[in-house]
Amino acid sequence: MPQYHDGSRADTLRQLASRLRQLQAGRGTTAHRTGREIISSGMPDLDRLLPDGGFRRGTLVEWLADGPGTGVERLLLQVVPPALQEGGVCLVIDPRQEFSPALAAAMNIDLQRTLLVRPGRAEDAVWAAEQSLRCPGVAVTIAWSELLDRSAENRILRRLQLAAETGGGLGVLLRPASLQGQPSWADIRLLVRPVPPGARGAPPAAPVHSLHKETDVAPEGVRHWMELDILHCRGGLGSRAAFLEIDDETGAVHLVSELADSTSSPRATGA
Amino acid sequence: MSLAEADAMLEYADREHPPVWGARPAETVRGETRRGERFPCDPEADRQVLRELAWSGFEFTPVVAIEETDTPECLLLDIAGCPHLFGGEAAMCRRVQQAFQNQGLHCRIAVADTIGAAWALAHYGRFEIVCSSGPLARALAPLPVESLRLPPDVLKKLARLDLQRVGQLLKLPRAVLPSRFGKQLLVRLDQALGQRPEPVTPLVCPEPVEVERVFAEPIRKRDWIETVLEELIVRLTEQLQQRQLVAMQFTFRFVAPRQPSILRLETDADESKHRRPPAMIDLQLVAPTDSASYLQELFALQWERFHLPGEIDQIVLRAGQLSSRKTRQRALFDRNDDGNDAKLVALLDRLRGRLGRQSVVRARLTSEWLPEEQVRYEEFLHGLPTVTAGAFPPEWTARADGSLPPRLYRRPFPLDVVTCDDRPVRLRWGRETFFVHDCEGPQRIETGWWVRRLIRRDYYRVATRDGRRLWVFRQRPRDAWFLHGEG
Repeated sequence: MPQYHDGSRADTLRQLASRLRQLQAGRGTTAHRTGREIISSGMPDLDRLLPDGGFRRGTLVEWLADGPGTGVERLLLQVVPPALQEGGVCLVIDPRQEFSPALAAAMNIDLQRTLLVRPGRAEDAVWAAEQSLRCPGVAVTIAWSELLDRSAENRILRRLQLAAETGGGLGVLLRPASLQGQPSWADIRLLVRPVPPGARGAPPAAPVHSLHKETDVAPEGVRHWMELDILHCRGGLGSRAAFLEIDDETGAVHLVSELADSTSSPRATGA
Repeated sequence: MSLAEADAMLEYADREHPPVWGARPAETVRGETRRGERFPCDPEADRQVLRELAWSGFEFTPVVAIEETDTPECLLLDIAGCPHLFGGEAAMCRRVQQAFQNQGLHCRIAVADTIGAAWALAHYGRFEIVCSSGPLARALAPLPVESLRLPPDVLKKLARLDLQRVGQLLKLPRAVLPSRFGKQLLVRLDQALGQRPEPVTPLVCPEPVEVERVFAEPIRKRDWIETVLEELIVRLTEQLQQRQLVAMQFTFRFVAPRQPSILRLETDADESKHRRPPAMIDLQLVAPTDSASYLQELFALQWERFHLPGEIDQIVLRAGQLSSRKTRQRALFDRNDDGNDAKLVALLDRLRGRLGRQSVVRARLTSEWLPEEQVRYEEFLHGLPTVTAGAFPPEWTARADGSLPPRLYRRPFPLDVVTCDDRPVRLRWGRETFFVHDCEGPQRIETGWWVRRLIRRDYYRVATRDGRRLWVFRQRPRDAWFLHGEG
């Protein structure tokens, strides 16, 4: 175990970090990139946490959500308006027909350029996702329902990742949180957990928020919080977690506090 | 139409249909930007579009022509001998009108004995559909002189003499007209009244393009059929290319052999059982094509999951929805990268080919109240749907982000709910139990009894104790609870 003095230890860490970032960023350059390489996630606060300052075109982003009602959809849809800025369409693979176009319109997503694909079977859904990712005219492909909910589908994820590299669009997958221990080919894995009101570690309640008062029956759902873990991120170091505050009125997402390295399971990646 | 006229019409349209929910500044800004765009006039493009529209006229009559002027704006259909097929002239006109409406076009139609009279009645008649009967002179008399397709200088002269109606012209002695107003006036007048012929050049009606292969003996082997199909596709596309045509619909018909009479059972009296109905593969494309390789790729997607019911002895391949090769598909999506649009169309064709036409849709918002009815889904075939984000009911637009769940279930799930003071405190959904920390509502949504059966729901946005957000409603007056969305 090498011993470091206080000063040189920080330097060495910084050097190692930059070296690691170079190594990770250099992996798998795509051939068919057009326009800007990086798309904003639509949430400036999240962009700041990501090493590239957003999502890279031609890659997969995996959102893991823990059960119903987490509101992860509200976060993952934020990427669509910036992604469509340079043309192309958004293709949503929605086998269960649960995508809500009304909310999408309210989030400034151009419905004319949003295609909904409703495959009847799981293999059709995977096929459609792969075809869509392979097409350069599709700026962002969203696998809306839990398309790949079995762990044995790592091979399929690899196919999707290669398709995204070929097409140069962004692939957004929504998968159950139970798969966070499984390897994945996604460049960025994000885990979303609902934050119980008044939980330990939750942001301090401002006086205007009355969520901690059990007796209050007046409408108070003005804003709510989520915990976001960046489980894995190419070019990033370790996992990070943050509390996000979602304004129900405007749909805006703010970073409340950034936590230290998350306590979630260690990063698992197939790459 | 002059620019000033167009501007005036736009202004009028804005006044008639102001932005509906214009309370928010964002909405009014959007409303202003929608106020029409200006493009340079392109007569050749107009003529081309009119020529393409003329193809749909062949559905009604074999003789279709385009008005012969420098700036044509009319289609001429010679319907002699055809109306009885459609239930009379009026019914036929309505069918024609419907056919154009399906393409998003509004048209005026007139039926008359001469081209001139039909033109006049279509432009200046009192109704959108005019079927004139009786003497032409009487039908034309009340129309303005502009209805005679006269050059502007003649119209000016007529105006100077206060000759406004065709009836006034008819009263004048014929001999005077050419010397005072030029020959053209008399020619047009005679053409309208049927006293002088008016030649038209009809377009050539496209015959259906079809290729077939009849086998000496019934076959069943898929490999063989596949080889024959590839050959048929090549033959069909060659025919299309020779005739400068492209098609949007391709139908493959697999005809089953007729059962020999010696094998028929006596009891089997039903004639239709002796020949199975032909199995079909129908390819409906997003954009017209005449490319063999493209068709073969799309066909392969369908063929791999196509079940051939038995032996066949004939394959017919037919191309439908033909158009001239110069037809360009309107851009499906504006602002798309040039080369990518074609790839996107190919993707859509593949998706529709394998998943079915109804599986690839675009959403369009409507101003219904029930959340599940706020969206209509449309295929791409009928041009571009217009999307108006401002078409929400006002209460929903006001706080659309907060009040609409990102995930709306197709069918609401029944819930077991414990309430206190009419508000939910505990929800049970299957095996899961959620304790309500806070709930927002009720927001009552009620349908009009005059529309259909009354639906009355009280919606609540529920925040559970573990931080989840659910969207539940209470069905009134039955008092049953349902989970309708989440997030």
